[in-house]
Amino acid sequence: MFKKILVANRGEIAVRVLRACREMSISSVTVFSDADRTALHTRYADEVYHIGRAPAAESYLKIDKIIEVAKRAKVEAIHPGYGFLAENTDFAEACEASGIVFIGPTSKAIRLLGDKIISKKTMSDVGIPVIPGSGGAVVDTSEAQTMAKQIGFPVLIKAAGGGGGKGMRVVREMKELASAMKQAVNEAQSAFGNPTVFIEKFLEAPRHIEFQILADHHGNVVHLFERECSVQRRHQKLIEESPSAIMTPDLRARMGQAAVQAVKTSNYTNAGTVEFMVDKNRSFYFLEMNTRLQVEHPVTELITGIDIVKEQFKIAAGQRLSIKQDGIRMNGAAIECRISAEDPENNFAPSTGRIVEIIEPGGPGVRIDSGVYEGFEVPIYYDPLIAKLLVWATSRDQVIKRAKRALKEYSIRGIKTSIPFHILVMNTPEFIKGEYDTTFIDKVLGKVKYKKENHEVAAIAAAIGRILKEKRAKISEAKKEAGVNPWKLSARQMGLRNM
Amino acid sequence: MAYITKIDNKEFKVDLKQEGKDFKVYLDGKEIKVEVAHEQGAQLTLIVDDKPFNVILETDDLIVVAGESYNVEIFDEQVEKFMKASTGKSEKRELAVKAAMPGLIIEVTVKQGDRVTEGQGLLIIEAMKMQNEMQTPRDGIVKTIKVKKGQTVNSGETLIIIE
Repeated sequence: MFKKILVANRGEIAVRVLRACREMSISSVTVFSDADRTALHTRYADEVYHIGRAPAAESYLKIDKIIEVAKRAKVEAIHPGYGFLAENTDFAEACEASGIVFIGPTSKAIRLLGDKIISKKTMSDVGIPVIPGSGGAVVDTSEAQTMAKQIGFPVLIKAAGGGGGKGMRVVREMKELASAMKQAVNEAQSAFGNPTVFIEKFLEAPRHIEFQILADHHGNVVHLFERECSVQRRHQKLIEESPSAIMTPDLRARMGQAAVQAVKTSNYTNAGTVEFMVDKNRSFYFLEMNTRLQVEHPVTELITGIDIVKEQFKIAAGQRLSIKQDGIRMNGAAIECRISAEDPENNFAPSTGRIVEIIEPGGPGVRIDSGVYEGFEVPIYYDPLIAKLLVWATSRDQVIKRAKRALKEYSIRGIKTSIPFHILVMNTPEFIKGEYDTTFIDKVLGKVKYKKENHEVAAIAAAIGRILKEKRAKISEAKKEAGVNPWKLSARQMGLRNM
Repeated sequence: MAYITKIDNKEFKVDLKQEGKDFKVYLDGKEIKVEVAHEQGAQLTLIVDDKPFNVILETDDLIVVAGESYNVEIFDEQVEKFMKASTGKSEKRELAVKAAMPGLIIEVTVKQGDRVTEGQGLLIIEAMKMQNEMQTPRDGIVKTIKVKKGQTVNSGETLIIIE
């Protein structure tokens, strides 16, 4: 096993990986930017190195700087976390070239799976279902018609040049196809300067379900079951759970097998995630593979008891997987709520600033992976994710109740967080029944207002607050006049109050 | 003392008298016993009709009760009467839309004189690599726009005044 590891990340994931180092008695090294001099990961590691200014491009994304630190600190391996350089082939190559183990897949596997068109073709070639489509440019309307007939309506016309909904059209009937083609081509031309479009099957209200896998360097591959990640906003996951409410043993076996096959086909090693879309008929389609540790990995840790980060270390060190597929058991149910520095009541506007106070939930089945602490100033430069609340219980029904309970206990002051959003979801019947898909936030929550029940108490509190404030102002005024040390006076008052 | 508090367009009259540590409160005329069980800095524990509530007086216009945030406007009843008499309607008062975060102004989507409705986007600020729309919390007319595209703002800075 490695004796010294560099964690090239920040925030909660850096702390998560550093914790694994400490539990395995591995010396840890981390890097920090100007904005993170007092960050939790900077305080946690055994050795820390400053690597540049606050913007990520000048610090956490600087490959040469990080490799330099790795050499100077004489580490044997680098864990990239997620985001930043985690799926950067240049970085993986730079590690390989410097004789430092990159704790993740090879640069070759990252490159193959990073290309959506090539990876889709690779999977399709070995019989893994992918979203049916043209796979390449569709030139004219007659070709589009042939294609649409083949894959079946509804179809989606998509611009090859970019995203953001531009040059995109959902077509439900043949008679709409010609005009939709024309509009999509025009829009693609004006938005991206490239009129190329392709056609694929449009999945109505799909669910996003992914499989966690582990693969060693000796050809052993296992999957650790699914995670349902359909609660998404602008393609950002907010809540993940396992097991999925729609999973059946048969579907799980088939999807798990496809995930393992995807890994073997791409010669993938280390931990990874195979993402699928699942439609209303429970047909599943390969979407992409995430070649890194995922934000939501603890959900799987809670239901399997397997520490994924430690497994990553062992695999990277060349060890054989000690776990076999038929020895992996799924126990109970787990949910993750991503706690971000955003105001859910104000369109998820980022909320940065100093955290005045944190009260974390506790009790049975609660795990917090956090990257912040009381007094920490949340910087404006990085991802708004500040912590993850994970709950485990014996069943889905129980875990939702526990999540609700824990969220009510959770208090972060000084900045706005997504906690009220999570409370809202845990109280939404569609979520409770497991009847939700990737349109959940837009279609179900879009109409729901944050329910508040304590208007009257708030009104009273405001008035009491006003009176107390005026009283305090008078006291401090009096103190100033009397020339008494206000700390002393306050101590005396507190003493009296406690009598 | 009597106050008018406005929360989410609801108006409450709070008449209160301090009795030792506790308060005798008349909320819209209804008597309620309120005990201040604990007071530390901005945090209060209020026992209202025998139910405990954790209250945080974050700022003058933001109060958190049992984890729920409330935007509060509070006026002295006497002052409010005077304002109503002088302006006709208190609703006419100006409202400053402040930056909810530090960031860069990407776009201002309204013009001076525009009529806006609650929840309508006013401008877009970028922070944490995300673009965010600032919305008006109530109906009104855009009176003044204090920022320009490309400008950086601090949290709490006034961006637009709605009347």
